[in-house]
This record gives sequence, structure tokens and C-alpha cells, in this order.
Amino acid sequence: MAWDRQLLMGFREGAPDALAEVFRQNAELLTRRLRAAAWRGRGFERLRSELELENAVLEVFARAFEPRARGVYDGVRPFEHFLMGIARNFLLEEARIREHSAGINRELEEQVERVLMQDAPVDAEQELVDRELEGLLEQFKRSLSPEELQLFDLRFTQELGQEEAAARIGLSRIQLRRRELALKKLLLEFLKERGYLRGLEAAGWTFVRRSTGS
Amino acid sequence: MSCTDTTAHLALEQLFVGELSEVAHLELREHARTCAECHEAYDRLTRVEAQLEKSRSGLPAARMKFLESQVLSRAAAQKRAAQARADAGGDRSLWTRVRLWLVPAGGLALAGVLALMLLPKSPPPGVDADGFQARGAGAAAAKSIYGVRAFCIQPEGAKNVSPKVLAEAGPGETLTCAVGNRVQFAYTAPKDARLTLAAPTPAGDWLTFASRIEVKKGTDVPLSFSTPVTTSWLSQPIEVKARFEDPATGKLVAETTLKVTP
Ligand SMILES: [Zn+2]
Repeated sequence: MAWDRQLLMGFREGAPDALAEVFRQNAELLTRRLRAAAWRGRGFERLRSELELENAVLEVFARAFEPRARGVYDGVRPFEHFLMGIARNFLLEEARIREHSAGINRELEEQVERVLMQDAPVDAEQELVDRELEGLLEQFKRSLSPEELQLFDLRFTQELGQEEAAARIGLSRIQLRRRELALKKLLLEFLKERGYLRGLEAAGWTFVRRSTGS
Repeated sequence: MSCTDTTAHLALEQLFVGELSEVAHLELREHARTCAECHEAYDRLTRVEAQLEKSRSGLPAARMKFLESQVLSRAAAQKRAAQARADAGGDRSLWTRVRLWLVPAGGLALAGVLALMLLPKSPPPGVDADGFQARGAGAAAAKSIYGVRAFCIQPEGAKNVSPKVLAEAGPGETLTCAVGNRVQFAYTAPKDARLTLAAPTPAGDWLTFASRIEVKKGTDVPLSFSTPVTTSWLSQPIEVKARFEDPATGKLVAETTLKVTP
């Protein structure tokens, strides 16, 4: 990301606007790299959990935004490197906590550095998980009415914004949001029926009901 | 299928359909940390949402917004902490400083825990398997160098109603703090350190309040965040382990175990 003087000063001072900007510019990259660490190397499988991954993203950014860390970033070396350095320390500390061991072997360090410093192709095992999901979504689409399918395509296949999708169908944005909500509830029901949510369709999982009509 | 927390289940569904508030999201995350089923469902629903959006990061856009806002509120708390340290005069009572931390927080996932004075490391017999070491009040009184104290705080109610300390736990004590209040921690450290506060859960996992956060040397310094007490993490007594490490070497300098109960 490019740093101008104003952004750097804002960042150093911890101005919320500047921090938000830095977060937005770097969150995707950090998330991808941490995910790669989870799937590619050994030792960080825990981060295959989305919840744990979110926690890791939070933790790394929180450290990068600590007053002292902000103070040492010079705006010259790439921020990505600075951030990945923090991510590296975080991962190695995690490994140490988990294993209750004082030392981290050199191999693990190298593995972490490799995976954080460059983009890697998607891991085969991870791809399998994604593909299972893709298949489910395809099945879901086949279960939809033409109107539902149109909405699904505009929003999720063509990736149009709500405003634009609404215009295409001739709805107000509020109407579109309502339909989208209904569509997501349908998907939720579908996933439960297919057992994708593993047993969670039992008691206590009947709050969001399939809404017919509207 | 053993989790019966219907609030959490509803929250999971609301999260998926985009109708969950940020605060409720924090509570759901807290619950999912210790509930394997909700954790799994959280992960799976997140994956579906990300796949729908074809998200490049693999996390849904709305989730990224939540994370951004949590990072920012934590950064703001850290900034306030640094400022307070900078202008903390000796005349300030601990409570005055604690009050500084009663941020509108939006409830951060991290938080401080309990109160015990810790001894410097010199492992006597009886250190348990995972390396943490519990000490009684007697031993603790001997040499209070590193320490953690906890407060149960009633949050601000209507406008102009100040927050109030309901309970405080000292060495060897248990902090009782009911749902709806907040737990706030303060530490004492003779040197800069990294502090970890975590409690084992029945599921064999760890409920982490603070993970190797950097703390500056100081006496009774409140942590920069407090945690709202919810049944999702405090439905039964928990044993919190506190651990101070040397920030440079990562070596353990002091540790202890203590309890918090609803
Ligand atoms: Zn649960």
C-alpha cells in the first residue's frame, strides 16, 4: 500500500481514520496469509477454524496498532513486511504456548516465514472443503424458484451491489434486502436439511423459519 | 448435540442472514470459544457466507467490518492507556485510573482477570503439569512483586450514573461477578512483561482473556479493556491462570492461578 505523509502521521498518532485505512488495505492479505499458514504448514491447523482465524487477525492488527509499534514504523519499508513480521511473532508464540516448550525449532520458523511472505496456491485439502460447499450451493440453486434464482444470480454470481441488483429487478433497495434475507433463510434451512450444520438442526434451531411468500 | 444455549443458536442464524448486532457478535464469539458445537457451526456458516460472496480474504465482508471496528476500539483503548500512563501522577488512586478504562468498550473479546500476588519464579515442588503454579495467600504475602487484581464493575446505567466497583479480589481470593457487570483487571509488574490470562474450559480448550499482551512496568495498572460478564463464558467458576513473561526472551517470570465465579 502507498503511504503519504498524512497517512503516516495519522497512523503514528493512532488517528482512527488512518488506522481504519491501514486495516482495510491490509486485512485481506493478512487473512489470506494466515489461512495459508493454517493449511500449508504443520502446527497451525487450529487456524483452519474461521473463528480462530478471526481472532488471529484481530490480535495481529491489535499488536500492529499498539502505540509502540506505531511509533517504530517508518513508512519507508513496506507495511506488509512490518505486518507479516508481527504475524510471524504471533504464530511462533502461539506454537510455543501450545507446545509448552521454550524453544522453537528453526524449521518451524522457516515454514512460517515462507508462508507469510508470499502468496501460495490454495492447499489441496482446503480446496476439497471449498468444493464440497460449491456443490451444495449448486444444489441449492436448483431448488429455487425463478425469482429466487434471479436474485441469487445477480447478487452472488454476478456480484452486483444491492442497489444495482434492485434496479435490475425493479425493486426498491429495501424490498431487495427483504428478499435477500428470505433467500438466506432458505439457504440456512437447506444447509440444515443437508446435514451441513451437523446435528445443529435439532432442538433450538428453529428460530429462523422458512418464510413463504413475500 | 449438547449445547442448549438457544441465544447462541439464534445469534448464529442472525449472523448468517446479516441481522446480528456487533455487540451480540462479540458475545457469540465468546460463547463459541468454549462451545465446540457452536464453534463448528460458526466456522461452517462463515465459510458458506464467504463462498457466496466469493470473498478474496475468505471472510465475509460484513465480518471484516466487525473486525475492523473491534481492532479500532482496541487501538483506541491502547492509546488511552498509553496517555494515562504518561500523565498518571502518583496522586491518582487506582480507582481513578480504573475509571479511565471504563470505555464504552462495545465489549472486547479480550480482558483482564483476577487478583493474586505472584512470586518470582523459583519452582518449588507442586508445580502442575502445564507449568502453572498456584499459590496460597500466605505464600503470596511473602513477596508481592508481580501481581494481578480484579474488579467487578457495575457499568454505567442511565446518563450521569457513574460506574461502581462491586467487588475486588486480592491475593488468594475469588472474584464474584454477576452477569451484566464487567470484569476489569489490573496488574503490578516491576519490569515490562508480556501477560497472558487464560482459563481452561471443560472442553479442554482455553478461554483466553489476554494473550501475551505487552504490559509496561507499573503498580496496579488497569488493563486497557474490561470484559462484560455473560453466561457464555462465566456460567460456572473458572480458574484463571496468569503468566508473566520476559518480553525479550519469552521466559516465564511469574505465574499463578485464581478463580472467578458468577
Ligand atoms: Zn453452544
